[in-house]
Amino acid sequence: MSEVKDELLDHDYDGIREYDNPLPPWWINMFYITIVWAVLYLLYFHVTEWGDRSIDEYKKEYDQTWSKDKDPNYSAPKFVVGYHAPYYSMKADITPKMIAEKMGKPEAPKEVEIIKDYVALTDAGSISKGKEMYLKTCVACHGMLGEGGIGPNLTDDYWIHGSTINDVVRTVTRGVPEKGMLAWGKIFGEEDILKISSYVLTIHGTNPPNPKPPQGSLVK
Amino acid sequence: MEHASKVQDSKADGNLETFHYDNTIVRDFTIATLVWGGVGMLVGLIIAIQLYAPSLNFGIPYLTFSRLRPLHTNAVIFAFVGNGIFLGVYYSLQRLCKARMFSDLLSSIHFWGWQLIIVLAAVTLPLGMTTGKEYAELEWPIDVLIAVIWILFGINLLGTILKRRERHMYVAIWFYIATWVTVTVLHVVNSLAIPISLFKSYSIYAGVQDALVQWWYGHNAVAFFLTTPYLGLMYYFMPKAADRPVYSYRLSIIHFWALIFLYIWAGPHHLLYSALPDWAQSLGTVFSIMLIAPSWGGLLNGLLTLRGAWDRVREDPVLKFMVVAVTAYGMATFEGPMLSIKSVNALSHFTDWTIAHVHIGALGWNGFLTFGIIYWLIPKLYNTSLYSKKMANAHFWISFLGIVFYAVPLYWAGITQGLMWKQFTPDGMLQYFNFLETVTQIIPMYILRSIGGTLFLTGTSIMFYNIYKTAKQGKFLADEEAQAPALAKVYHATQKGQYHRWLERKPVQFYVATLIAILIGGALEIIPTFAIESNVPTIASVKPYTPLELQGRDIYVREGCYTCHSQLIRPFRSETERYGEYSKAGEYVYDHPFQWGSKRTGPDLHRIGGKYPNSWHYSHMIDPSVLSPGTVMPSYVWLAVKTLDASTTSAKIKAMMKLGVPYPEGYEDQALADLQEQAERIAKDLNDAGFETTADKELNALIAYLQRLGTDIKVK
Ligand code: HEC
Ligand code: HEC
Repeated sequence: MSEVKDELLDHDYDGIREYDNPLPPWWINMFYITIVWAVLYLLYFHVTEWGDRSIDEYKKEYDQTWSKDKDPNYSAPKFVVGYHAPYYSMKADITPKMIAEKMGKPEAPKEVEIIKDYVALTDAGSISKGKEMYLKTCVACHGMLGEGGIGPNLTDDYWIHGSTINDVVRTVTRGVPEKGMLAWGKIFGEEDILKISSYVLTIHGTNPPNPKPPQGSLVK
Repeated sequence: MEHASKVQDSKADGNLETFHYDNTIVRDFTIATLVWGGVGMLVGLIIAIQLYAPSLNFGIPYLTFSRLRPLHTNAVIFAFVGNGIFLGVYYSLQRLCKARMFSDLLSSIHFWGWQLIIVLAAVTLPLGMTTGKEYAELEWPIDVLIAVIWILFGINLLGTILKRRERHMYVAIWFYIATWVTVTVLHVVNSLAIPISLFKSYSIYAGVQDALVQWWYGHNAVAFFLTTPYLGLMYYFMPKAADRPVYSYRLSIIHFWALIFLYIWAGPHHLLYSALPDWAQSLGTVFSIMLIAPSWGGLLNGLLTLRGAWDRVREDPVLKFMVVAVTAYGMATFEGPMLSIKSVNALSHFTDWTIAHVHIGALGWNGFLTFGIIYWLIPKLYNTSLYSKKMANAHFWISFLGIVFYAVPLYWAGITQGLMWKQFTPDGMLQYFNFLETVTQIIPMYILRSIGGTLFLTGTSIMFYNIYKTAKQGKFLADEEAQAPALAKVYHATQKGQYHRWLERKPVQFYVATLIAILIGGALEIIPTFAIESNVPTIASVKPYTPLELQGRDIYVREGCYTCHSQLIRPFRSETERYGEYSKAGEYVYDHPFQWGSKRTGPDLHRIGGKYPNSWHYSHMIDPSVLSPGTVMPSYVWLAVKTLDASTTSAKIKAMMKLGVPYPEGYEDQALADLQEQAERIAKDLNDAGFETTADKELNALIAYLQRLGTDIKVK
C-alpha cells in the first residue's frame, strides 16, 4: 500500500490524469502528531487546568514563586503612567509658543539621548577639558565669556531651549541648524558634549561685560 | 487497459456534441488582474515609502498612510487576487466541465460588477468611508453590491457545474465550491451592520465579539480567498503546464476536507493574549498547528506532480513561477502555525514580522502563481507563443529578488522591534522606554523593504509589456471550439463502494457537505462567546461614550488610526509598564466596531486618556514631528480646520441604542447639546493654552475620544 507505484486512475479531466499514490508516511504521521498535540494542549490548559492562563503567566512575571494554589487572590501591581513622548514634560502645558520654538525641527535623534538623565560633571578635569573645547569651537558665536554674539548669551537666566543639563546636552548635540547652531553631536562624542555642556552651566550668572540682550524665556 | 472503464463510460453517454468555450471573459479578467495588480502594488509602494517619509502625504487626507493602507490591502486581495481567481476559474471550469459558462450575461455582469466594486473601493477608502474592520473596510452599500455580484457568480458557477459533460468534478472544482460557499457565509456574517447614512454604519457586534467575528472573517479571507481558490488553480494549471499526472488523488481528498474543516477554526490565533477568552485563544492555536499537514498536502501534490518534469523547470518560466509559488505557500503555511504558538506570537504580534509573513503569501504564492498562469494562458488565448521568454525570465529573477528584499529586512525589523519592546535593563527598567527609539531603529529596514517592493513592481511591469506584445502578435480566439459527449441520464458506477467518487458526481450534495464542514468550527467558537456571559465579564464603571467622544471615535475610524495603533495592552510586564494596566474584555462593550488593530507602528493607545494635556494632542495631531522628532506618524492637520458634522449625532446615538448601548431614554434629543458643551470645554482649554481654535472643529472630538480611552477603570 505504501509504495509509490504511479498507477494512473481512469480519471481524465481535460487531459489531466491522476495517480493514486499513497500518502507519504511522514506526512500522515505529522498529521497524527499535531492532532495528538492539540488534544494534549487542550487537556493541559483547559480540562485539567494545569497550564497557566495568560493572566497567570503575567502574575508570574512579577512573582516567580506565585502559583494558583498559593495565593488565588494575588494580583500583579498596576501601572498608571507609562511611556511618554520624548518632548513631554508633565509640568508644563504645550503652548503655541513652545511649538513655534520647537518648529526649528531638530534632526531625528539617532540614539534618543533625551531620555537619558545626565548629571552635570563637576570635577575640575572635566570642566577644564570642557572649557578648552568651548574656547576652540564655541567662542565664535557665543563669545569668550559666553556673553553672546551670533548665538545667545549663555550666562543669563534666559533660555530658548531649556536650562538643565539635559536640555543643554540636547541642544548642543542636535544643534539648531536653521539658526546657525551646528549639531555638534555629529562632531563630538557624547562624553565630550557632556563636558562642554557642564562647562557652559558653570559660567551661568557670571555677568560678563557686553552681554547680548536676553533671548528666550526666563528660567529661575 | 486502464482506460477500459472510461471507454465504457463514454459509451453510456450520448452523442458527441460541439460547443465553444468563452475566452473573452477569461481575457477580460486577465486584463483586470494585471491593471489592478499594478495599482495595488503601486499603492503599496507609496505607503511603504511613507513609513519613513510621512510628509509624503503632503498634508492631504486622501494620500495619508492610514487611508491608503486599506486601499492597498483591498486592491491586492480583492482586485488583483480576486480577478486572478476569476480568470483562472472561468478558464479551467469550462474545460473541466466540458461546457461553456452557464450564462454569458452573468459572466459579463460579474465582470463589470466586480470592477465597479473595485472602483468604488478606490474612491471611498481614500475618502475615509470605512467600517474600520480590517480587510472588510468597505461600507455597507458596497458590501451589499459585493454580496449580489458574488451570488450571481455563484449561480454561474453552479449552473456550469450542473450542465457539465464530465461526470465527475475534478479536485479544482471542489476548491472552487468551498471558496464560494465559505466566502458567502463569511462576508454576510461579518458585514452585518446598522446604517447611519449611505456612507456610515456601525457593526452590530461590539468589542471582544466583534474582534472574534472579524478575525474569523479575516483569517478565513486568507484561507478561502487567497488559498483555496488558488489551490484549485494550482490543481488545474500545474499539471497542465508540466504535462504530468497529479501525484495522488487520495491525498487530494484528504487534504481538501481536512483543510476546509480545520481552517475555519483558526481565526483566534490573531487574538492571542488579547481579552478574548482563553479557551477560544487555545482553539485558535491548536487548530492552526493541525493545519500544517493539510496545507502541506497541497504543497506535496503540487511539487510531486512535477516529478519527471524538473529538467523543464529550469527552462520554462511558467513552471519556475509555479514552483516558487508552491514553495512560498509551503513556507507561509508552516510559518503561520508557528506564529500561532503563544510564546512566538508574544514576540511577533504587532510587529513587521506579520507583514513579512503575509507578503511571502501575497507576493510569492498568489503573485507568482498568477504570473505563471498568465504566462501560460495568454499565448493559448491568442494562439501564439510567448513574445519573449527572456523577458519572462528577467521578470522571474527581478521579482524573486524583490521578494527577498521585501521579506528579509522586514523579518529583521519585526524581530528587532519585538525584542526591543521587551528588553529590560538589569535593574528592571524598560531599556527602550522611549517607543520612538524602537521605530527609528528599524527605519533602514523600511527603506530596504521599499527597494524590494520597487523590484517586484519592476518585474511586473516587464510582464505587462511582454503580455501586451504577445497579444499583439497573436490572434485572439474568442470562442474556442471543443467537443464532448453529452452525459447520459443514468449512470452505472463501474466501481462500487467509493463514497467520495459518488460525491464528485453530486454537486448539490457536495455543496451541502462543504457548508457543514465550514460551519462547525465557526459556530462552536462564535456562539458561546456571544451566549455565555462569563466570557465578557461586565465592569460596572464602564460607561457609554459621550456624543462628542462617539463622533471623535468615528473620526479615529475614518482616518484609519488602527493601521498604526493598537488598543489592546497584553498582559506582559513589558506592556503594562509601558502603557498601563492590561486591557479587559469588559472595557470594550460599547465599541462598535472594535479598534484593537493588528500592527503597532505607533504605541498602544488603549490608555492614552489623561496622559497628556489636550494641548499636547492638539499640536501632536497637527504636526507629530514637532513633539516627537523622528516620528513616522503623519500630520493630520486637516482635522484642526474641518468643521465637525454634528448633525449626525442623534442618528448615531439612536443607532447605538438599538445596538443595546444603555443611553437614557430619549437621550438622542439631548445629545447635541451635550456634545456642544463638551466641545466648548475642550476649545476653551486649548484657547487657554494659547491655541486659536473653536469648538466646532473635528480635532476637538478626536481629542475628547483619546482623552476618554482606557480611563473607565480606575487604576490606583
Ligand atoms: C555658528 C555659530 C554657533 C556656534 C559655533 C555655536 N553656536 Fe550655540 N547657538 C548658536 C545660535 C544661533 C543659537 C540660537 C539658536 C536658536 O535661536 O534657536 C545657539 C544656541 C545655543 C544654545 C542654547 C541657548 C538657549 O538659550 O537655549 C546652547 C546651549 C549653545 N548654543 C551652546 C553651544 C556650544 C556649547 C557650542 C560649541 C560646541 C556652540 N553653541 C557653538 C550659534 C552657534
Ligand atoms: C504611520 C503610522 C501612524 C499613523 C497612521 C498614526 N500614528 Fe499616531 N503615532 C505613530 C508613531 C510612530 C507614534 C510615536 C511617536 C509620536 O509620538 O509621534 C505615534 C504616537 C501617537 C500618540 C502618542 C502616544 C503616546 O503614548 O505618546 C497618539 C495619541 C497618536 N499617535 C494618535 C494617533 C491618531 C489619533 C491617529 C489617527 C488619526 C494616528 N495616531 C495615526 C504612528 C502613527
